Amino acid sequence: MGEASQREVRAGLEQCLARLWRYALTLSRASDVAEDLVQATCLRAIERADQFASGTRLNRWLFAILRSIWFNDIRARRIREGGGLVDAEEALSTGGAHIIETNVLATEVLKAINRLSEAQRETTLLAYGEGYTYAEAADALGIPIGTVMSRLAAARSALAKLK
Amino acid sequence: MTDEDAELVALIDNELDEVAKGRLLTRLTANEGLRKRYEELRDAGAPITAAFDAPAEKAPLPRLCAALPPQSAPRMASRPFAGITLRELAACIVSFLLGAGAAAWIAMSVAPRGEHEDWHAAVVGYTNLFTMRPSHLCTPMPHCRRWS
Repeated sequence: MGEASQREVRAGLEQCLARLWRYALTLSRASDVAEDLVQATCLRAIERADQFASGTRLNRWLFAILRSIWFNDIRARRIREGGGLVDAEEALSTGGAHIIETNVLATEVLKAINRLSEAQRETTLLAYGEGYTYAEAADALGIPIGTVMSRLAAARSALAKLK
Repeated sequence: MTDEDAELVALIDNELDEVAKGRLLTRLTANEGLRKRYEELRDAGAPITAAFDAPAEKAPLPRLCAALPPQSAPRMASRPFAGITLRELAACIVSFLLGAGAAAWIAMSVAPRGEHEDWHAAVVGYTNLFTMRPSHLCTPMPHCRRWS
């Protein structure tokens, strides 16, 4: 059971790396922090592979781990050490030069998403990036569905102003 | 952002229940300003999903993959003989028996013959002790003689 779970988790990790990275970047808004966050998530997932319920969605389990590490460890430490959070402008536009060349609108949208609050960014990613339903997002974030609705409305409202 | 926006966004995302959806659609039909707001919010949503693809594509996958812990080798069970197949075990036993037999045979053939002779003589002598002079065993005891 334990070894089977570990093999399943280990095999699935590689498939989820890009999405984990995106989630980590959305939360941290810094590529180096996102990288650390993804690595810490992978390690913890392997350590706790026996807690993964086989047949359920691995990426959602990994997201929950990543979120827990972010809020309980990395984010808390950065704030404690006085580093605060990264300036919104650096944000998701890591490698921005490439993105600007290829997709101006995507860059503008990402910048706008970056200016949202952390909670709004996260909810937006889960709902529109990962395809969570409102109920799933509410469950993952531990908030009421009404809060998910208002966060998404705020995100869309901010993005509507771009035009 | 208003509660109305939240409802409109939920309608766009197809997350409203039938009753709320019907009510909002009726209002949208009647209210030009609300319909305009609905269209703004709807059009703002499309680029979001596309925009989120960019960071995923830029993920430093080679570095992240390299940092993954290696796939652990399957652990050996802690039982005795774990990992040894039955065939290997049988082969070990047969080899041991053959080896032991060969060693015994060599020991028998190499051992000095004199020892065998001594041993044989001792057995013969011991047997003769009781068989060559049987009469002393049968000599009646003095107290037995009375009854004969």
